[in-house]
Amino acid sequence: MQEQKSSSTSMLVIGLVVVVLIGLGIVYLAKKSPDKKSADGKKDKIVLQLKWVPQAQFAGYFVADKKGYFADENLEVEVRAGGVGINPVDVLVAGDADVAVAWTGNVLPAIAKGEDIVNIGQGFQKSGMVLVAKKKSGINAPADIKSKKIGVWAGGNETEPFAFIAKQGLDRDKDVQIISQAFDMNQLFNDEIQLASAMTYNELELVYENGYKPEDLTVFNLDENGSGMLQDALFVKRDYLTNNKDILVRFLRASMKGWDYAVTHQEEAVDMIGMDFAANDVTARPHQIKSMAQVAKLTIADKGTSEGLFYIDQTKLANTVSIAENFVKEVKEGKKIDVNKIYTQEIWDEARKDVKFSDYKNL
Amino acid sequence: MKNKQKYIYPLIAWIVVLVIWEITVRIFAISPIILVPPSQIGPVIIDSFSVIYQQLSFTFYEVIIGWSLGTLVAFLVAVSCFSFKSLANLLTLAAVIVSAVPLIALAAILGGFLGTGQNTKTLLVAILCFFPMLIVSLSSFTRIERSYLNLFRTYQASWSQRFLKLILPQSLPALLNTMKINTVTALTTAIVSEFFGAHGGIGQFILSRKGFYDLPMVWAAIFYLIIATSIFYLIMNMLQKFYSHWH
Repeated sequence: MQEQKSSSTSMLVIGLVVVVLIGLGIVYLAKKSPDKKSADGKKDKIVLQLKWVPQAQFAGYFVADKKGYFADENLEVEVRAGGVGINPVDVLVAGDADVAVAWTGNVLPAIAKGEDIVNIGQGFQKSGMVLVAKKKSGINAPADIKSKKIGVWAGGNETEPFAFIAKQGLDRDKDVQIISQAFDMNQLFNDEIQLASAMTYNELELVYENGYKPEDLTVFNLDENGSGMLQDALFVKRDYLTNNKDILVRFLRASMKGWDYAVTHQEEAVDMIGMDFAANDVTARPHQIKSMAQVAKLTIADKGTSEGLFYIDQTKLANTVSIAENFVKEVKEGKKIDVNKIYTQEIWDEARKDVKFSDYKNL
Repeated sequence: MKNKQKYIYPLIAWIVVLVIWEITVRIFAISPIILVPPSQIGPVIIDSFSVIYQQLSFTFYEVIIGWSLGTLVAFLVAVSCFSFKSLANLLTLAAVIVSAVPLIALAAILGGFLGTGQNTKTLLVAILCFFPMLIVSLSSFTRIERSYLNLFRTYQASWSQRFLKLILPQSLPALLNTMKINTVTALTTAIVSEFFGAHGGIGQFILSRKGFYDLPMVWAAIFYLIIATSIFYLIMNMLQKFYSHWH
C-alpha cells in the first residue's frame, strides 16, 4: 500500500513537471519573435505572411524579391504562403511573422478584442469582393437575398458579406441561411447556394470561364454597395513598428517598386510568382494573367494613382471601420475602434520619397 | 481506497492543469486571440450549450450514419467474399492500396460534384470507415486456425454454422477494435470535411468562430466535442470489454 502510494505521488510529480513544461512551451510560442538577421548576419530579416496561397494577388512582393528590390534595401524577406486554416492576423499576433498582408475586415475584430495592430501601407485601394448570383435564382437586387442560401468563406473572410446582409436590414442568423463556401464555385454552379462570395480577381473570372455570361448573373460589388472593406493592407504589431521603423520603410519602398513593376509588366509579374501553372483551374497561367489585371485595378485605384501605391486613404479606412462597427456584431460588441490608432502614414511618407511611380493612366 | 485513487488523481491533475493554464495566461498577458484562460471558457460552456448542441448534432448525424454504413457494408462485402480466396486477396490488396491514399483529400474533390451538404460528408465518413473495416474483416475471416476449420469440416458443419460458430466469434475482437478506432476516424473525417465547405456542423462552426477570434466559444465547442466523442468511444469500449468478458 505504502509503495503504491509513493508511486502515485511520483506520477503526480512527473505530471506536474510535464504540465509546467507545456505551460512554458505555450509562453515561448506566444512570446517568441522571428530572427532579426539573415543567416550570414549581414541583412535584416523580415517575415511576410501572405493572406492566401501565392497567386497574382501578391505578385508585387514576388517581383520585389525576384528583381532584387528587397536585396537592394539590404533585406532578406521570407514570404510565407497562407492557406486553409491560416489566418495572417493570428500568425502576426503569435509573433511568427513581422508583417502580414491582411484584410481590414479580418483585422478589425482582433483590434476590437484589444490587439494593437497597425496598417503601414494600403495594398488594394478598395475591396475586391463581390457577391454573385445566377439571375434565374430570382436575385436581382440586394433586397432579394432574403431567405436565400449565401456562401461565405469561414475563418475571417465573412465580415464583408455579413455587413452586406446586415445593411439590407436582415439578420444573418434568421433571415438568410449562411453556408460555408468551398474554394471553388461549384456550390453556385449546382445551385447549392444562391449567392456566392467571389473576388473580382479570382472566382468571378472563374464563373465567366465556366461559360456564364455577365447577363446571366447578378453581381453585387461590395465596394459600390457600401459594405466593402479595405483589403490587402500591410499590418504590423505596434511594438514591431516602434522598434523597426527603418526596416519597415525599406520594406515598403521595395514593395512599392515591386508593385509598380507588377502593374506595368503584368504577364512578366505573373511568371515571377513561382507558380506551377499546371492545373486547368485558377492556378492556370491565362487565369492568373486575367487575375493580375484585376489586381492591378485594385492597386492603382483612386489614391493609388493620385498619391501613389500603398497610400492609406484615411476617409476610406474610417468608412471601413464604420461599416464594421455598424453592421458586424463581433466588432460592434468589442472595444470602440479609434481610426487614428490603427494606421500610420509615417512609414509611407518616408518610403515614398525615393520612389518614382509609373504613369498608370494608360493601363 | 483504490477506486478513490482512480478518480482523485486524474481530478487533481486536471485542476492543476487548469490552474497553471489560468496563471500562465494572466502572468504573461497572452493575447486573447491566441489563448484564453479557463475562467473565460467556463461561462461560455454553460451559456452556449444549445448553440453548440445544434452544430454538434449536425456533425454527429454524419458521424453515426456514416460510421454505421461504412462498417456494415464493409462487413457484408467481407462476409460474401472471404470464401473465395483469390477474390478476397484481390480485395484486400485493393483496400490496402486505397487506404494508403490520404482519403480525407477526397473532401475537397467530392464537394465538387456531390455538393457540400450533409449527405456528402456522411458518404465520406462511410468511405473512410469502410476500408479499415474491410481489410480487418477479410484478414480475420481468412486467418482462422487450420485445425479448427478441419474439425468443423470433419463434423460436416454447414457454411453458416462454420461462420457463426467459428469464424465470427474468432474475428469479433479484431472487428470490435476496428469499429472502436473508426469512431475517431469518423469524427476526424466529418470535422475536417466541414472545413472545405459545409451547410452546418461543428467543424465549420469552429472555423467560423475562430475567424472572429471568439476563442472562448471555440474552446467550448471543443469541450463538448470531447465529451460527445468520449461517449461514442466509451460505448464501443464497453461493448468490446463486455464481449471479451463474456467470451
